[in-house]
Amino acid sequence: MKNLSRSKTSSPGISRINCSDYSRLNPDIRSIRNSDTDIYLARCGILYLESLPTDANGESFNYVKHELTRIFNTRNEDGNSLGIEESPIVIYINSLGGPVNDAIALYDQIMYLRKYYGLYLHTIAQGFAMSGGALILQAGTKRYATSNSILMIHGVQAEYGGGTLKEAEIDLEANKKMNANLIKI
Amino acid sequence: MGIKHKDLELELAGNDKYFNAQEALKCGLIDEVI
Repeated sequence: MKNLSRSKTSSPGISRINCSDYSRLNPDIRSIRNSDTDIYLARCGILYLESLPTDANGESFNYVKHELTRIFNTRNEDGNSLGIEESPIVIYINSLGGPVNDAIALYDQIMYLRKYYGLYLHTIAQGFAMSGGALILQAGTKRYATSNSILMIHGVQAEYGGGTLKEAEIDLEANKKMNANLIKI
Repeated sequence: MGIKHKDLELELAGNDKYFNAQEALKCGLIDEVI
């Protein structure tokens, strides 16, 4: 693999820390991802951004954002050193997208941690990385895609209804500004 | 959004644009296909 600054023995997505400690599981995670496997992987610095068309409230983006922040802020506990160059946090993306505000919030959170705290984070597209999923893919220190994955990008999509014409115009102006921000990324 | 390849230049005007992994690599959307 070219341009990889990691150990030759490691591969993208495989963190080399000891993940054997199940004793302190965050109960808040269980309310979002009720899977011991997800909790285990999160403790290893491996997050899955997986969203469905029914994910209208951006739960997946918010889950990854909260978990990323928790993992990074609690690094060096239990001897872990996640988020550094030798042990990057990894986000696997298999997402059809979701609310643009939640996607932007996660993207900005990653870029903030990268800029001010030196976070190393790899993003890997698996299956679909569409819309907001493609946006998050761009946030990685290293960006990967599996050979059969599909990426899709597009502009901001919005519906206008239920309000006055003036309110629709205001919403349109806000979405134009959001679209302009996305183009710069 | 990181589009570098001239043949696939795109303005985010609302139309969906799909890429397979090799096209995404060529366009600069990813760093490596694995």
